[in-house]
Amino acid sequence: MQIGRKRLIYIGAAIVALGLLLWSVFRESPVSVEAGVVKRSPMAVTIDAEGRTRVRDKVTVTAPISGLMARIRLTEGDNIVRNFPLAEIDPNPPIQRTTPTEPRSMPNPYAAKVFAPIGGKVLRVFDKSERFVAAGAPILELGNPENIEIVVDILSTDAVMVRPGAVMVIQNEHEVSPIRAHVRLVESQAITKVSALGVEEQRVNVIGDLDSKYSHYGDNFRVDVRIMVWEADEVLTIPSSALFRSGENWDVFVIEKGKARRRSVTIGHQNPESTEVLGGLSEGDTVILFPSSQLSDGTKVEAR
Amino acid sequence: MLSSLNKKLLRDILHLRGQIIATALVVACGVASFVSMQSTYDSLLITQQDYYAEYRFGDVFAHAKRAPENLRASIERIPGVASVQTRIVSEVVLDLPGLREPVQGRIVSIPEHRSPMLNDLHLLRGRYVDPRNSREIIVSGAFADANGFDPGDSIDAIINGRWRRLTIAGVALSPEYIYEIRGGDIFPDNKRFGILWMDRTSVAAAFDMEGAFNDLSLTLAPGASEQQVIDEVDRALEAFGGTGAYGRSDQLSFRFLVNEFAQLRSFGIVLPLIFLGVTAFLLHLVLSRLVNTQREQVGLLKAFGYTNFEIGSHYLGLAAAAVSGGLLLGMLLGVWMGSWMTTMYADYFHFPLLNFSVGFPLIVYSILITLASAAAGAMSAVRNAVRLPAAEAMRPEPPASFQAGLLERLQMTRVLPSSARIIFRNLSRHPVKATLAVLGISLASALLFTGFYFFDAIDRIVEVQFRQAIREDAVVAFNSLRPQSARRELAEMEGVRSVETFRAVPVRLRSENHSKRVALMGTERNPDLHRIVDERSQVFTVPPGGIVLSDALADTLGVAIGDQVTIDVLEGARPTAKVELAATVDELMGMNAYMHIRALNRLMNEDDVISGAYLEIDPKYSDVVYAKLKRMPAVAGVGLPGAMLETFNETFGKTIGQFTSILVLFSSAIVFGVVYNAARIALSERGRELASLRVLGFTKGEVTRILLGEHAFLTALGIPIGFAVGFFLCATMNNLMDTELLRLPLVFSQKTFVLTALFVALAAVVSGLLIMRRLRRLDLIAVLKTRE
Amino acid sequence: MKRTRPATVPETNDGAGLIKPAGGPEHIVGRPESEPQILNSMQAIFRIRGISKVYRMGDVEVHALRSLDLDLYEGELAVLLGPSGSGKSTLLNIIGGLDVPTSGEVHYADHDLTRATDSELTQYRRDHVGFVFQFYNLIPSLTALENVELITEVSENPMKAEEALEIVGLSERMDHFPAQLSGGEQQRVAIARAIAKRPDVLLCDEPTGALDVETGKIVLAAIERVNRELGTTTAVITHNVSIARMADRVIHIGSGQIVSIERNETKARPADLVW
Repeated sequence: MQIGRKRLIYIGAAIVALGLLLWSVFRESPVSVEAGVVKRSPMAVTIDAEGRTRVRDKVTVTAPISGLMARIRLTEGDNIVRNFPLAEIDPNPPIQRTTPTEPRSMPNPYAAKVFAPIGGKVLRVFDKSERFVAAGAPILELGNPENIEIVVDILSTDAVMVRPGAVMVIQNEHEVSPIRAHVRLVESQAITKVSALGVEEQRVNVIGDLDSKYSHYGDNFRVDVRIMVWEADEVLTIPSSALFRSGENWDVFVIEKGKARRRSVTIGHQNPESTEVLGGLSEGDTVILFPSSQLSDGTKVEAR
Repeated sequence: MLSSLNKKLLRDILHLRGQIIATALVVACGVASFVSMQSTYDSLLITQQDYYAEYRFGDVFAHAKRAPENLRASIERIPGVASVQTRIVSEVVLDLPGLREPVQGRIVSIPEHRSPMLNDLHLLRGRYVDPRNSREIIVSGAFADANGFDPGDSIDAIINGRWRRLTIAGVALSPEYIYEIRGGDIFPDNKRFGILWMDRTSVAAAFDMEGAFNDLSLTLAPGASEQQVIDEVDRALEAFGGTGAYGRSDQLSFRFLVNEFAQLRSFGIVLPLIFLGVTAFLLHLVLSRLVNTQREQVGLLKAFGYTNFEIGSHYLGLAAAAVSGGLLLGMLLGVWMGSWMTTMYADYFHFPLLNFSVGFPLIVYSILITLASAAAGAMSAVRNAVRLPAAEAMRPEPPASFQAGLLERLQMTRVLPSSARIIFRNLSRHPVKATLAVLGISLASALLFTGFYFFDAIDRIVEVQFRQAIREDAVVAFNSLRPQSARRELAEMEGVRSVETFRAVPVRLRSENHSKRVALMGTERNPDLHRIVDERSQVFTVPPGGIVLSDALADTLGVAIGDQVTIDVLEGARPTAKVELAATVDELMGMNAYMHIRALNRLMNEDDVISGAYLEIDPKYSDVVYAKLKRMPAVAGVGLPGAMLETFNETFGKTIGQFTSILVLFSSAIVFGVVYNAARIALSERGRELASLRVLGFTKGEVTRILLGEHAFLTALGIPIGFAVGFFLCATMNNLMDTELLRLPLVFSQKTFVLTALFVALAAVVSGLLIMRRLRRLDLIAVLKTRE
Repeated sequence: MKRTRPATVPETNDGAGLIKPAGGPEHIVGRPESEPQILNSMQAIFRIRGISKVYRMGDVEVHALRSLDLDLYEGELAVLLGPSGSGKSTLLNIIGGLDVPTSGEVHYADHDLTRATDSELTQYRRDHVGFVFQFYNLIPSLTALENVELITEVSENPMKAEEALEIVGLSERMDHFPAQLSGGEQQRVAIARAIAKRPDVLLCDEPTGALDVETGKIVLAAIERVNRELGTTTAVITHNVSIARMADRVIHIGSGQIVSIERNETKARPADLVW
C-alpha cells in the first residue's frame, strides 16, 4: 500500500493530536492548596495560663480567743477604717434559758472585742452567724481591693523562661481591651497539682503587678494571663501551619510559578499561629499551609 | 437432514459471525452485570438477615450510668419485650506492642459460661473465656485481623487506673459490631479500636459494678411497638442515668451497614437494570437492521409461499443464535462474578456465614428480557418486510428521494468533496436510522462515562474531607467533661503544635414530627484544624448563637434556615432548648450538627467544658506525645484521621472502586460491540451501492472514506450526546446513592471526559479497521451479482 | 397429478372488457398435436377484470396498469410482450399474487385473489405458483441445489431437486453458491427452482434476458416442457419478439393496457427459435 505524502501528513497530525489528548489527561492537574504569605509583623511568644487576682497585703482577722462570737454585722464590700470594731467574742457565755430564736440583746462587757488592724474593704466574711469559734479561727478578710496582684501558676518547666519584669497581658473574655501587668516575682517553690486531665504536675506561682489601678477586678477573680516570654515589633513571620518536619529540620513548600518548591528553613521563635523565620525565605514569598502528602518538589499547585 | 431454511440460517450465522459475536458481547456484558450485581446484593441481604436472626441481634439498645441488676426483671416484663440482656460496657485504653498511639478498647461483659445470648458471638478461632481466669478476653475479628492477634496473645489495658495484662482466648464476630466503629468516628479504625468481651464477674469487679449493669439490649416480641418499648425502657432507666434507648436504626454498626447496603442497592439494582435496558435497546436496534438487510430474501421466501410464521421463526432463530451465546456466557460470567463479589463482601463485612444464591426469578428475568428484546428487534424488521406485498419487498429500495436538503440550501455543496457530500446526503435521507445509531453509541458512551465519574466522586470526597476539612493529626476524646484548662494543658505538651477543642453532646433534634438522634458538636469559632467544609470547598464557621446542620440532616428534619429546631439533650441535666437554624452545609460525610462551643455550654448551663480536642503534632515528638496521652487518666481514646483515610480507601474506596472497574470493563465491551455493529450493518446495507461506486471509478480509498466517514461522524456525534446522557445517569444514580453516611458529589474531571471519548474513539477506530479489511476484499462483481 | 384439459366453452376477450363467447376459426390455434375442438374446451383459469395499479416510487406516482381485463386459460403458454415500463411485470406479479391491484378483481379458479388475505395469498402461491424473476433472487447463502430444495421442501409433489437442475443443464454446478455462478447460470437455477415444484401456474419475468442464445434455448425448452407435460398455465414476459413464437397466445401490453392479443397458429419449438 503506497503511503502518499498527504496521507503521511494526516497520520502525523492524528498521532500528534492523540498524543496531546493523552498528555492532557494524564498530566497531573494542579493540586488545590491553601496559601499564606511570609511577612514582617509583630510577634510574641507567650505562656498562657489561667490566673486569679489576689488582694495584696490581705489581712485575715482571726479570733483571739475561743468563745461565742456574736453575729457579725459587717458584709463583704463594707468599707471600714482602722480600729473599727469587727467582732465580739464572749469566752464565758451564760447558759441561756430563753428560746434560741431570741437574739442576745445584752452585750457582755467581758466579751473580747476584735478591732480592724487596718482600714480597707471587707473582702470576705467567713461566717456571719453567731457561733462558737476556737482561738485562731478566721473571722473575716480585710484588704484594699485596689491593691491587687495577679497570681498565676505555670509549669515549672515554663517558669525558667519567665523573669521578673516580663510583661503580662491580662484579659477576661468580656473585656474589650487587655490590661497590662508586670511580673514581680517567680516563686522558687514548686507545687504539685493534679491537672485537668488527671496528670500530676509541678507548677510554680508567678506574681504580677498591674501597671495601673483597675477597679473592675475584685479579689479572687479568674483571669486569663499571657506572660510575654518574647516579643518583637517586626520580624519575618510565616504561618506555623506551613511548616513540616524533615528529619531534624523544618521545611516549607513555596509556590513559585504555579509549582510547589520545597525549601529548608531555619526558624526562631514559635507560637501556635506564627513562626519566626531566620533563614530560607524572603518577605513576600507564598507558602502552602497544611501541606498534604500529595505534594512534592515540583508538583503543580493552585491556590484556593 | 436439515431443511434448506435451516441451512440458510446456519450459513447466515457463519457469514454474520462478526456481528453476532459483537452482539453476543453486548448481551454477555449486560446480562453478566445484571446477574452478578443483583445476585450479590440479594445474597448479601439474605446473608445479613440470616446472620442477624441466627445470632439474635438486638432490637433495642440502652445505656445508663449504673442500674441495679434486679431492674432487669421489670424490663423483661415490659409488654413487647421478648428477651433482655444486661451487660457492663466500658471503654478502656489499650497499649498494643508496636503502636505508639493509644488504642481504645470497648469491654463488653458476657456470661461466664457459654450460652445462647442476644448479640451472640461467632467464634472464629480460639475458645470461649475460662471463667476461672479473670484476665481472659475474646477480641473482635476485624481488630484481631488488623493487629495480627491470635489466641494466646496478650494486650495491656488500663482498667480503673491500673494496667492489667489480658490474654486473648478467642477471636469472634458479633452482629452488634459488624462495623467495629466507636461513636465520633466516621469510619472504623480497626487497628485502633476493638471490642473485648470479658466475663461478667471480672468486668463487674474491675469497674465496681457488682450487682449492676450499665448497658442493655433486648429483642422485641412480634408485633411489638418499638417506640413504646423504648419509652418504657427510658422510664425505667431514667433514675439510673439512662441516656435514651434507641432502636436498630440508631445503632452505629447497623446504621453503617444500612448505608453500605443502600449504596450497594444502587449498584445492585438500578445500575444493572440500566445496563440490561441499554442492552435490550441495542439488541433491538442491531437485530432489526440486520434482518432488514435481508429484506429481499424475505420477499422471495414469501413469494414462494413460505408463511409469515415460517419466515418469522427463521429469523427468530437468527435472533436466538445471536443472543443465546451471549446469554449463556453472560449468565455464567454473572454467576461466577456474583459469587466472587459476594465472597469479597462477606469478608469485608465480616459476615460469618455466606449465602450465595442466584434467584431463579433473576435468571428467568434476564433470559426473558434479553430474548424478548432480541425477538422484538428481529420481528419488527420481519414484520416490516412481510407486511409488504412480496413484489415490493423484493424490489430494491427505491433511490432515496433526493431533494434539496439542508446542505444544498446552505449553498455548501460546492465546498465539500464529493465523498463528504455523499455522506451528508445519506445521513440526512435516513434521519431515523442515523438518529438511532447515534443514540445507541451515546447510550454506550454514557455507561462508560458513569463508570469513570465514580472515580472522580471518590477523589473529591477524599480531597474535601481528608485534606480540607480534617487536618488534625489526632483527635483526643476525654472520658468525661474537662474544664477549658485542659486545652492549655494539651497545648503545653512538648510536640503539640496547636490545639482546638470541642464538646460533643448526644441530643435528639426535633422539628414538628421529625426527629433525629445525633451528636451535637460544639466547636471553636474559627478553627484551622477541623473545619466544616462543603462539597464546593467552602469553609463554614459557626455563628455565636444558633445551630448549623448538614443539608441532609436539615432535610430529614424538614427545616430551613431561620426555622427553630428543638434540642433534647440526652445527658447531664437533660435540658431542652430551641435554637434557630443559622446555616445548612452541603457536607459530603455524615449528618452533622454544629454549634459554637460557648453557646452549647450555655445551653447545658455549664461552665466552659470540653469533651475532646484536635491536635496538630510535630512528628519529631509524636512518640512522646502519644506516650503521654496513653497515660493520661482523663483520655478515653485517641483517633487518627490518617488511619481513617486508610480505612476509607480500604472499605468504601475499594468496594466502589471494584464495582466501578467492572462497570468500566463492561461498558467498554458494550461500546465496542455497538460501534462495530453500527459500522458493520452500514456496510451490509450499503455494500451494493459502494460497489457500484467502485465500478464507476471511485478508488478503494474514496469508498472507504465514505463508509468510514459516515461511521466516524456518527461516532463523533454520539460522544458529546453520550456526555449529556451520562450526566443525567450520574445525577440519577447520585440521588439514589445518597445515604446518611456519605454523599457523592457531582463532579467530573477532565480525565473522565477525555477517557470516555478516547475509549469510544478507539472502539470506532478498531471496528473501522476491521471493516476496512472487509471493504478492501469486497468482490465487486460478487456484490453486484448477489445483492447482499 | 397430471391435469387434463376439461371440455368447456372458451371465452375470449377482445380487449374492450366484454366477455364474448368464443368466435370463429380465426382464433383457433394450430398446434401440431392438438385437435381443434380441444381449444373450445379450454377453461379460463385466470379471470382478470378492470385491474389498475398505481405505485409511489418516492415522490413519483406511476400508473403501471390502467383498468386491464384479461383471461388466461388453463394449460396455455402465454407470452406478454411490450416495451419496458408497459406494466408487464406488474401484471405478472398480480397474477402470481405477489402484488395486489389498486382496483379491480382477479380470480384464479375459485380463489378470489383480490379479496384474499395475506396468508391466503401465501398459501395460493405455495400450492400453485412457480416464479422466475427478472433478478433471479437466489438466496446467497445456499448452493444451487439448496436453493431449489428450499422450494421443493414446501411443495406437495415436487420433482427431485437434482432432476430439476438436470433439466436446466446444471448438474455439475449443483453445489456452487450463487456468487460462483454466472448470471445465466443463476437464472437457470431460478428456473429449476420454479419448475421443481411442478406448479399449476408458472410465471416467468424475462427468463432469457441475460442469457446467450444457446442457454436461452435450454431455458425455454424447460419452460415449454413443463407447460406441455404438466399442463402448467404459463406466462412469460419478454421483450424479444422471436420468443413469442413459442406461445399459444401473445398478449401485447402497452402503457398499462392490453393493446392486442394474437393466437399463434403454430407453436414453434424452442429449439427452432432464432434471435
